[in-house]
Amino acid sequence: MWKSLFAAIMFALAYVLHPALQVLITLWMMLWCLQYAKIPPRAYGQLFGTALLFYGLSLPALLVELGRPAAGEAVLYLRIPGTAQFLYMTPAGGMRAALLLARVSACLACCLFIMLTTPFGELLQVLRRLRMPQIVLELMLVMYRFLFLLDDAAHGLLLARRLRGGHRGFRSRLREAASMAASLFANTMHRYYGLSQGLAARGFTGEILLPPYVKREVPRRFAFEAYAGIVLLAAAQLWMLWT
Amino acid sequence: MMGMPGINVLKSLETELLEKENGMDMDYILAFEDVVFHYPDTVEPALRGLTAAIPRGCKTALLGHNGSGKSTLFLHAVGLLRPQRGRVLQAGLPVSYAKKELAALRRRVGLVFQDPEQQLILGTPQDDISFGLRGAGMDEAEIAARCAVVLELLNLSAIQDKPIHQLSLGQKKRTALAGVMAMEPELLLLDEPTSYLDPLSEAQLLDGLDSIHRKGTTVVMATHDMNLAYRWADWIIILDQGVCRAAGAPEGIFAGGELLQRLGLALPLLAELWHSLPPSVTAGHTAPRNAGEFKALLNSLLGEGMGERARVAGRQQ
Repeated sequence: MWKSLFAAIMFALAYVLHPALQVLITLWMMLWCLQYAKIPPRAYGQLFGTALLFYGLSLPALLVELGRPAAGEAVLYLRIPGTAQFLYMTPAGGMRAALLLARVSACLACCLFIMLTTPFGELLQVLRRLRMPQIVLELMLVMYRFLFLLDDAAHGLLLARRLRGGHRGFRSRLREAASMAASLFANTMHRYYGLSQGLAARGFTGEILLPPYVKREVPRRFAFEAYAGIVLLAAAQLWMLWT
Repeated sequence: MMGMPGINVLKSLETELLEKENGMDMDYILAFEDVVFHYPDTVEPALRGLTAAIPRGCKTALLGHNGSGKSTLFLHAVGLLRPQRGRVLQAGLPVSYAKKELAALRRRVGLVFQDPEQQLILGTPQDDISFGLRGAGMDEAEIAARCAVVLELLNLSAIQDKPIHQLSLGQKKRTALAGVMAMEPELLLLDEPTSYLDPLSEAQLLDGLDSIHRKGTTVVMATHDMNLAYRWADWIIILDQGVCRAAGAPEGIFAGGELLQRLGLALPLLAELWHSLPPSVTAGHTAPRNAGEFKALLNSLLGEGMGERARVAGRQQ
């Protein structure tokens, strides 16, 4: 609960603080994950990078503009042949992208902090204490289980295809991917049927009862660092506002 | 029941079931009476008039090829499938398919699926084991006590808080078993529990099963492993094409290889070795059920042989 509250506060701060402080939040949350929770840097980097891909996809829309830039406005431009229109980039666009990156990174770091350092069961317990409807919790639970089953099935299928040689060429690869998706669907449905049978055999009565919330002691050193960090961030923001 | 050697063929099983119905002294925990079941979209029925019974308190092995009806039998035993003809009896009473009675049946009869992923639901072994107990409305103290017992019994205490998806197959199988065991069923059904397990994991699992059996639970295992069935089981049931071909004590079932040969099943290695010895050597001895027994018997036979040779040599001198 403490950790969830801490992450929630940091998430809120990541939204409202100055971009420089957002960068600090990103680095601080990374420290919690990589240094204190010992999350492997490679795995963390992959998760962070994958999520940032969405930001990357929105970059052209943020940076590139179409039209006729005012004199001295564009730092880079490209005339569209046969027209009087330009594709161009401005310092303002670059600034917008940088500000968004700072905020996205800070929010992402907070999300990864809660995802990577909190067992899923505890997260569900916290959500239940926050009065999340039971059906949503059950859906989350089943989806969480299926993530791993799906991953397992996909990995198995991919490996089998690789070992059997697979196909060469772009079109063959596309065909292969389509047939793999179909196999994966059939495989997952089979597993879903199996899991529903398993639930029934174990006496499922229409409601998955979760273990009760167990309060855990927070090490004093971490609690102190968290409180101190929040106070310092708030103070820095106030100082920036007044100066 | 356990000391009864020989093969009870289908006819005698029917007779036994009839005797049970008439209130005579046959203690079967689970019985199938002329059960027929046909899966949709299949040509052949999975069970075609299956009549079989599982004696209470026995370690029973269910043998048969793929598609012989072993898993279908298990699904009927917990009421997940309903016979299209015939009936299933649990502790002498026909299974009722009303919701409340089914829930009670599933507390008495536990089923461990071949694929543990099929029945692991919550995030860690500790949480998953408590799933059924919490569903049964037990209080948290009782749940904690029962979890602690099965975690210890199946050697899972060290990994009780590890995420399920990080467990090895053997650990997952033991966790699935623990979840069912915690419910303290009177009958435990296991579908291919040792498949894909390494020898160490298999030994740990069998140790756990023996502990459960010692506490009074009837354990039934569907397996293709004839050697395992021979050394582990007190009672054997052989299924073939949805009917019971033979049932009885292992000594009787494996004494004559003809039936197994006819059904395309292999004779266990120890039984084959034993029956390949001359009758003059094996006479007066019961067939050994495991390597230890075989070794002890060989030692004793060799000892007898050496003694005899020494006596002959003494007389010659």
